[in-house]
Amino acid sequence: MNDITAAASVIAAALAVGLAAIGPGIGQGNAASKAAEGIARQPEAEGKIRGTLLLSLAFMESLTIYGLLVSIVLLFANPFRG
Amino acid sequence: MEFALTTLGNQPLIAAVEVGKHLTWQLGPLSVHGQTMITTWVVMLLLIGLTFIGTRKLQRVPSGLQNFLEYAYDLLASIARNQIGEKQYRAWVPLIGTIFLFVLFANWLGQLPLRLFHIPEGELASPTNDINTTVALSLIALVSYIYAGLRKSGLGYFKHYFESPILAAVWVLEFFTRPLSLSIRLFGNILAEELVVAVLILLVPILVPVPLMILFLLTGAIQALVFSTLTASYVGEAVEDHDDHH
Amino acid sequence: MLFELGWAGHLLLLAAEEASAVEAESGGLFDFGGTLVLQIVNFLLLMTILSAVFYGPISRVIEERSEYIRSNAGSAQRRFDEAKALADQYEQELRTTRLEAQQVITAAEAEAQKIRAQQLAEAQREAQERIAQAQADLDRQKQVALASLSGEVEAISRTLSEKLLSDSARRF
Repeated sequence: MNDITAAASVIAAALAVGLAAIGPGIGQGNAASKAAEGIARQPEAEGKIRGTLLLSLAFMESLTIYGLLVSIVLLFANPFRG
Repeated sequence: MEFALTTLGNQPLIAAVEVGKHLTWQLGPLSVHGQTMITTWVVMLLLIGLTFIGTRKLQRVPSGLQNFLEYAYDLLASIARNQIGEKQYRAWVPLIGTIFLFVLFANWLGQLPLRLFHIPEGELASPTNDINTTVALSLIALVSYIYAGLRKSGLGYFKHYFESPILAAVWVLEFFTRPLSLSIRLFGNILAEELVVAVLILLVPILVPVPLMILFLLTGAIQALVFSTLTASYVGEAVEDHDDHH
Repeated sequence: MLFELGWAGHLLLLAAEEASAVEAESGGLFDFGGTLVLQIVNFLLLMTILSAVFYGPISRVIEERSEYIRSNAGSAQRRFDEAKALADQYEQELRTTRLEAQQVITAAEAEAQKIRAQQLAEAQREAQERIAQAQADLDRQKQVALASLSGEVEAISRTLSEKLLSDSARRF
């Protein structure tokens, strides 16, 4: 792996994780706040709300994971190695 | 690069980040990842052993392990029932349940200190840490829900692919992205978990990774739930009546 | 390396390079192949075995239990109904018996009353009779006494008058 490719890969990996974390972060915040509101309004529905929240958080999380995967590929299985 | 190793003394054998290294076995024409096979068989043996012991003397009034297994069955059946519906979920409980149990045990197995068992190359990790496993699971899910759709409505199951060209593109895209996202989600999560633990162990090999490992027990369970719930909902969508479908 | 990396960074890069080197031989992270096929086989095997030792027996035993509970609940309901009917019947009989007893008591009381009245009447009549008889006896004895007395009175008066007559005759 030459130096330019290595440097670009490391930067790209960092950007991939960082950028991929923004959207899901906002989305998870929204979901969590709405869930908290829902629980405050209807405490008896807490179990159901928590289950749905965890499931949808996992979906949002997977978007970040995709970014993380890209960075892992760039770091550990770089297809552009020299 | 040797200096990096020497600064850590003789430790890197138990504390090094290894990704994508495989112990390759040659079984006939197939070249197989040995560590994935080993941990998969461990998971299978655990599951089969547990259920075999637990169902030896089934009684009308359950006790001990039978209680636990009935609770587990109820949980698995409720995943299938919520997504597929009261009428037809029974036939799908084995598929959904096995996906859940296999992924759950595989994810949790990866949180054991497997790196203490040395193998010639690579290191033992969760079976779901290998993309072959997750792709295999998602292919099974794909085949299952296509089979469910075909059995429900024959070739008419593919009717919605041909309603309009734009929709057809969307449907074809979805056809590929469903198993792709299923497998990549699981693979990425587990790989990321084990990588985080590995890096933490590299930095501080004691106590600090423990809270994270506890967190990863939770996320491992959630990933198992997500995989099985999604499979169940795809199957449910395939077997439901298409009249009220969007 | 261009950068001054910490030892951890060095190690990560080292691992990355090693991984890349391995990948050249065996494919690395995305190495599809025999494992995929074997994992499908493994999964199907696991599903079959778990169906045989887990899902089948457990769902059967749950089914049997709910069936047992349902039939038990049915027979319990039936027995409860039977018991209730028996209790009702017993209650009914008790009420009838009480009524009969009451009637018997009333009848007996009436009978006793009648007998008492009868005996009372009998006794009164007997007493009356005896009184009447005693009165009759008394009357008869009075007659007899009167009759004998009147005879004596006659005799005495005759004697008296004879005596008086004889006395007067002698004087004259």
